[in-house]
Amino acid sequence: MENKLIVNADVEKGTINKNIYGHFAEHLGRCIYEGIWVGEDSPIPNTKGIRNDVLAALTEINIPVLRWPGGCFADEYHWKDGVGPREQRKRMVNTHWGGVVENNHFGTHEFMLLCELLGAEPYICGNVGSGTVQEMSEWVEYMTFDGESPMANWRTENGRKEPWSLPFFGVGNENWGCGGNMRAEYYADLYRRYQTYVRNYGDNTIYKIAGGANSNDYHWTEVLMKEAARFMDGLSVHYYTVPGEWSKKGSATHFSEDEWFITMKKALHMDELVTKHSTIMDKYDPQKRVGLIVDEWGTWFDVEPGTNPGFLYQQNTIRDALVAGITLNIFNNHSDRVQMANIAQTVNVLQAMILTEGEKMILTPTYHVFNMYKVHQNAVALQVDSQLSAYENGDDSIPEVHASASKDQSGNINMSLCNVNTKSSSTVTIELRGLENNVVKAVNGMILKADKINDHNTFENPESIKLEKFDRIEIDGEKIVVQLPPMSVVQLSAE
Amino acid sequence: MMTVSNTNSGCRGCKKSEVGSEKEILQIVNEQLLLETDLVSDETYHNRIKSCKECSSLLALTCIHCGCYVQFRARLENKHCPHPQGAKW
Repeated sequence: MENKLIVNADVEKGTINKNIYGHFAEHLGRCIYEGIWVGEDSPIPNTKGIRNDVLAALTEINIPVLRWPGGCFADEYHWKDGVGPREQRKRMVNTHWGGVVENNHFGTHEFMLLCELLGAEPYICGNVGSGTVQEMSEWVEYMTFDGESPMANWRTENGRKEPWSLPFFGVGNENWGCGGNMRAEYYADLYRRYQTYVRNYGDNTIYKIAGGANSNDYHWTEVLMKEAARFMDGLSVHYYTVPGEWSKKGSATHFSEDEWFITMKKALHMDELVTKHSTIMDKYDPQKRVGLIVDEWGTWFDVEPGTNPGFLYQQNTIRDALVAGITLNIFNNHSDRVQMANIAQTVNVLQAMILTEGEKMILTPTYHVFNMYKVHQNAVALQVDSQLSAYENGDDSIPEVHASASKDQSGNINMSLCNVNTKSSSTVTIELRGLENNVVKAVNGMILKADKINDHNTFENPESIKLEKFDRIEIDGEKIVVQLPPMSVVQLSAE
Repeated sequence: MMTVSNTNSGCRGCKKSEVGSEKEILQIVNEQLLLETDLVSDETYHNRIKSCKECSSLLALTCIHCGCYVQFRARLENKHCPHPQGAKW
């Protein structure tokens, strides 16, 4: 199929916030415990309890920001249970997720250490649903107050004298659902109240994020913007790509071509959501001061056969890689309003980067997409115009190719291309306009591809899908012609 | 205006799959095993399960190192114990 892209190197659309490439780690199943935290006494090599293999892999993809501790868990989390000597911390059952024993060994200090080791900024989600204003206020004081105060003194007693930097704080999570089953009108008032006591101490300035809508609940966004926009820096929205119904979402690895198509179509729905929520936000905030924060997104399938359904453990195929690629392209192309996004979740849960089994670890196709796309972090988004062939399925169709482009600090132009067609390779002619001397000097490429729609990495075959050099590239003046294989994600870097 | 309820709200916590009773879980496990090939003998299975039941990493029916119900994993020929201190089977 023939496709044409015009990348306007001289039409800059503003900076792509690096936090679009953010992640989310919840106390759910084996994400935090086993996936990240194994404890200092574990035979798995670790740094102060955090497993080294996962740390090294996540460091490679430059995680800019990490959201924690939930999710639904956040609105049942009482942070004081997770500080102080570990052997004295409360043990409880995580009723939300899988009924595992939560021993609170991973708490505020451990999360801050994780962020420090990853070079990521912490994004902490506070408890509105079952917590008090005082509890939330004291958490912020505990983390950020420098000097004499009850919470700062307690932090010092617990081994940390210097305050941490806390750039992002969420005031509740999914408050229309597990975070309290509230109406937008009620939550808007609660948000105004709780955020009042989320203080900026010393030099620390907190970017306050209000709990946002469930996918296409535009009423929620309307009410929050109308009643509380001036009290927030960001407003969240959550959307998951679920090919089936909630009661039967579909298998992560056994699916038909029809399910592939539906999955791609549902992933593309993110563009409509971002556009419509942004339009509402424009009405109250035309300067685009308030960011749209997509702090939960990704695929959601039935759990792997024979696994605890509360753990939300699913495999990850080339289909997930395409969902990640086209979604990140959408965020890049809406970077005027989307200031952060956090894929759910980092390890062992939903659309994970990494899967673990005991001491073993594998990287998923989604991981490789994040590794390729990291070049867009804080780069300048470029305008991309397109004429695209259709990928047809019965009477329905979607564009075959999805793209975004940016210019980095060295002046290199990075382009991310996804071919969602399962059968046909795609010829893409890219016209790079606005270059010096109208000439492309060189183009380097990387590719993630598969032979079958359900190809994935396993503990027995961990490198079935991996990044490879891409060389099906021709340069002709300011034009680049590439052949994208079926089901592929390609990263091009043009000098 | 959207009506929000526990059953149709789309929130992860509200939509989670319920973890049933032991009897219900074992029934689901047995149904899933019907779709599997390469199963171990009853003797091997019982030896594996004996190890699991003596292991501190077992949470009710779930192994915390892989998230599997042990009655499922222990039946599969190509699976091993994922204990980080060394496989027990």
